[in-house]
Amino acid sequence: MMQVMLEAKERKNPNVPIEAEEITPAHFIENRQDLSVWRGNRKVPLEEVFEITINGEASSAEDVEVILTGESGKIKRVGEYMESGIIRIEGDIGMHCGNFMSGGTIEIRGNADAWLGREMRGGTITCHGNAGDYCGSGYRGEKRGMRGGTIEVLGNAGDFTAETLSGGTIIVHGNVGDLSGVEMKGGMFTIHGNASRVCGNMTGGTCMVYGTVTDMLPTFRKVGTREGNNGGIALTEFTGDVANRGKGRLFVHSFTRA
Amino acid sequence: MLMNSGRTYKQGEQLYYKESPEYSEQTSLCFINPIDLFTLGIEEGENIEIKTSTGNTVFRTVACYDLVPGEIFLPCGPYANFILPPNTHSTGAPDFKTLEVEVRPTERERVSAWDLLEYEGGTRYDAPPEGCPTISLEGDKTVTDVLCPLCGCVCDDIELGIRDHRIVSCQNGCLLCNAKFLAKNRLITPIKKTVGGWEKVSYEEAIEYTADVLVAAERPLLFGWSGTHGEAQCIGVSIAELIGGVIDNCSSECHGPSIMAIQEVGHPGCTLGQVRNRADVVIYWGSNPIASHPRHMSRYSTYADGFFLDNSFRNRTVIVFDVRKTETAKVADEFVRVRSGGDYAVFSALRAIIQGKEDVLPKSVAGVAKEELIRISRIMLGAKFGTFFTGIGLTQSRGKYKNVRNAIELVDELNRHTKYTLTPMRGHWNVYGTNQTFTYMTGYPYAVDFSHGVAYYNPGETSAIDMLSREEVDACIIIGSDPGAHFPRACNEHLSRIPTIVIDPFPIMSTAVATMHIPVAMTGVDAEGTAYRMDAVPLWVQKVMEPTQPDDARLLSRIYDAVRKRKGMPQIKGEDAGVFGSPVFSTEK
Ligand code: SF4
Repeated sequence: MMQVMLEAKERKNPNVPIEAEEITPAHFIENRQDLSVWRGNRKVPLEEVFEITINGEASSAEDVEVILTGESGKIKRVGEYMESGIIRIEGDIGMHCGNFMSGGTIEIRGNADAWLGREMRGGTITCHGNAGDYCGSGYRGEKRGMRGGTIEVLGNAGDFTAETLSGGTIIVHGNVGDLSGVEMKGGMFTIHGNASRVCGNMTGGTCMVYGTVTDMLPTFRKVGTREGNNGGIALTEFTGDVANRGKGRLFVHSFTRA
Repeated sequence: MLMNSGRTYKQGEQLYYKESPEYSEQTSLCFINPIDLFTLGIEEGENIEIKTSTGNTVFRTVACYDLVPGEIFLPCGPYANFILPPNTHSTGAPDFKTLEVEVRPTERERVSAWDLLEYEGGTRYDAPPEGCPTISLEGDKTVTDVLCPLCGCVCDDIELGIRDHRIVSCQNGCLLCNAKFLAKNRLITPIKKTVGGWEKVSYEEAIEYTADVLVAAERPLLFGWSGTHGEAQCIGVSIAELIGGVIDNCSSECHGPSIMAIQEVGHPGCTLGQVRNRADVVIYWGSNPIASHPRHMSRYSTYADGFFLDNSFRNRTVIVFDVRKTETAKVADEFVRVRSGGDYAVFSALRAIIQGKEDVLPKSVAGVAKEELIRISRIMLGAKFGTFFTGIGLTQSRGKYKNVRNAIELVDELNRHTKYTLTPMRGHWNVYGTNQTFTYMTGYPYAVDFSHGVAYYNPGETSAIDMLSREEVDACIIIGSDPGAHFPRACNEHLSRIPTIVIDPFPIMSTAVATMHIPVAMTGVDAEGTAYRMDAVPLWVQKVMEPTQPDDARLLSRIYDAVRKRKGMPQIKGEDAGVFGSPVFSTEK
């Protein structure tokens, strides 16, 4: 087991974003000395931004645990393309955490900024705080977003959560922002709190809202009612988005119309 | 109450006189339904205070029956933006529309636009106007077929009268056009901010300063570009690449969302000539051309006779979808009032109706009765050639680009039955040009981040308002745009804390938050270059007089050279940074 402690150092201008796509468990196995991050437009060695402490050894990325501490809310792309191992973030994390990740685990104690797990393929992300906009979404102009794996957000998630979701599971325990699940094509999206204008243009997949949907879109066809498997909360089942000839399934506890 | 902000005719007329009290007057009005005035217990003309999570400021009320009770309308400008939160929902465009605000009567007086900028950390520039630096080599003359460098229509039939090296008359244009051509309050020499005021400096000093600032910055932002010509934009992109900066243009806060939608589902566009000659149904959705593009209706739609349509006014059906009964709505054949923020649902509903699935719809959608929607959809389907003009009513209200995407998908649906197109009502004369030049140079239309040496694009992350409100920018160039008047307060507050260089022919609101303002020749008057009309037709904008100041392209080339020198790079002519062989560089030396 190898434990990599990365403590973010104080920075002169803490608002300039750090892009740290090289922080993945696999990179520490290779014992590379040339790991670097971008601070704005400057490429700087990893140790200029982090205090690095490595304990133990490992022969595969699976046995690596990276622990990020300090002011990490502006550090972007941590765990991008990660395939295995564990990243634990003690505080907040910047945008694009876990982009394209295909395996392993990311655990965030604080809040995550936008595009958490964008276009994710596999693995697990747990965010104990709130997630920003576009959690589990796709990229601009892309037809498909997240395709596999699981994202669980214990707080709230922002607008466009699960946009173009086409596989995998997203669970939000709090509320989600406007137009979440928009363009959804597959996968499973569960919201325990409230949502608004959910699942516009969806063509496939399943979305469950255990709270209230405000401004429910007019183009979903009511199919019936049933009890959800979440303590027997009554749910109304819809199919749609009819405007898009969609065959998605949407279950909501209650709703208001636009 | 719900606040929407947007263009008014009077505000547009004052765009080149922002230091004047009249600009302050026109942008500090609040249009409000008389029923709401009654509820507030005040008379028209009395002041109100409008408050949001960001702040509050005072407006003067104007009674207006075009609005539904519960909604107010503010002209866009420094007042509306003073209370605008910078949240863009990670799309790049803040909530200029459908914003929840608190309104209450107040005894307080309105402040001036300069006052607001000073609250935001700026310093007013109110030196008396220095006049105009142009020279007419041919003496007094009349120039015909001049292009108007103001709105996206880029009208090409303006006639200018020139006496004593100044433009003294302007024929054929609208009021906005007149106001711009006749403006003479140009800035003559570069000015630099000192403690509590401004001092004149030389162009050399200004260029050296700019290069120093750009080279030192870790997160520089080059913003604006829609008020200058394509050749200058190209050099701007080269500078951004050289310094590892972010280059963004005004579309990120206006029609950027339209482009994001186009990236998802394509652009069923056509030229304005097609519309003029063929369209028998014209739909303005969330746009008010009478205020923003005054001659659009007479040149291309409602009143313009076309090859296949004579007596256009009778034979064309004009439909307006809007939240308020705008001037355009009043002259349209049909007006559909959509509840603020309800456009997305209405598009979805229309798509369902056209597929014959109206049974799924509830009795009304966003305040529009289902029967009404069915009736309108019949008019749409009856068209031989229909066209949508979509405005910032869609891109700046909640949902942003997804509204436009839904509009395009409605066009797709209609195209299964007849011919339909969609054109975004681009605001600035060359804002579409920024998207064209940026795209052919970088692959992306705006919000392009070169910090890693390659182009990366993600509105919401690399767009100006987001970057400024997250306070990550450490140096900024503003060119051909005025964020001081059009950005949320938090952005201006940040601009006033970092080195900010404004490049513009006129003193503008952004001057207040800048550390340096470098004046340039004005494209269409004493500078020339390429502009792209709102339908992406490129037009060569000629000058009508000779400059005594550098134009944007020339100034930027000098900055480009100065940056290369500092980086120890071999000196090439900055002119070559842009488009090779462009007339700007080959004729003028
Ligand atoms: S409509 Fe636009 S381009 Fe035409 S004259 Fe007026 S401002 Fe100029």
